[in-house]
Amino acid sequence: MTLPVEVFDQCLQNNPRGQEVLYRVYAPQMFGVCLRYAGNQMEADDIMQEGFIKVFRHLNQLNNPQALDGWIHRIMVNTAINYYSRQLKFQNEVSLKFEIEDATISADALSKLSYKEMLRILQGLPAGYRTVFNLYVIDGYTHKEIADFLGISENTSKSQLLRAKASMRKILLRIL
Amino acid sequence: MQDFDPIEDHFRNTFSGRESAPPQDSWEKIRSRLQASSPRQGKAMRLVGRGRQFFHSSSLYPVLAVSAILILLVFIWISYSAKHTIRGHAYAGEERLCRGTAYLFTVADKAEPIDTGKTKLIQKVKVDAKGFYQFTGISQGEYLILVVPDTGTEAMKNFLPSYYDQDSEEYNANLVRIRQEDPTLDIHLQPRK
Repeated sequence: MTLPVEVFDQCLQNNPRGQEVLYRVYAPQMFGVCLRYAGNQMEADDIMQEGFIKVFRHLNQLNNPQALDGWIHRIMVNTAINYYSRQLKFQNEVSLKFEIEDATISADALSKLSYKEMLRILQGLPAGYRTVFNLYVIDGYTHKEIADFLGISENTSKSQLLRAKASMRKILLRIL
Repeated sequence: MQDFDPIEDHFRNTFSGRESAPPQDSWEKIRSRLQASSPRQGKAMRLVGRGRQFFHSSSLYPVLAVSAILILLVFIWISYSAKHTIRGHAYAGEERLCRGTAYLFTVADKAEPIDTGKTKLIQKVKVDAKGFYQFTGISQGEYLILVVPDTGTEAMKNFLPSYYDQDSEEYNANLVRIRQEDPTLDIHLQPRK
């Protein structure tokens, strides 16, 4: 996504028109990000608003305008993590035996799920599971990066991911 | 090499780069907050801005107005319904009156005599051996207080029934106005001539 230079400059000058253009360009994608990090639509809206406020306030700290996409995305993710920081209770248990279902779920079965159903499953996860699942599976961060991000160990990040997937598998087996 | 996980794969494909329409009013909320926290404005202005935003964006005006009126009415009701006490001593010359009766009247027209019905007896209490009397549970208003020595007493022989503060004639009596305070009122009986 490329934002015209003049719009970027307007945003740097706190010009409301420029800010609105930037918002209109990025909001749909960022709301998609916020929805999957949030517990529901209202919280996603709160996170997105807070994220865009940060974007406009700190835009002058972005040295390379070409990196705007990734920068805004990171701000949204950070805002979501901060939003749920009190709820993010990570268990350090790394045992992989706990609740993993033996049954596998085929890609064909998964393809029957609608976006809304998948979003509901994701949003229904505890904040800690959901955050790690989002960071690792969808946003492509490594466990080391997630560990640094959240101030946890790599093993905790891995166990959270396994727990998240186990929870999802349970729900999927029930509904598919 | 990492194992293929269909769940991971399916969620990744579904959500990566997925767009979703944000709520209609999100931009307005962001814009308002940006304006309220503009660096050109001081802290006070930001607070004013937030206050305005709250009142402009809410439909609380009728609720606030009705609440204010109710609070005012309750305050007035409490003020007027508060009960007071009138107390004091009755004197017969230099001495305190030993026995007698104190009467409390409401006043419609101070110029009218009691028996015209312009005044109304509210309370009647005994004046004790130390000359003390007390009316309780009195609402705000204007009153007359009359002290009458008991018949057959020395005081009755030498003093006239008298109104606060020392007049035997009702139309000369001082009005007692009760507002917020609980007054202490001494009454001096008028000597017979």
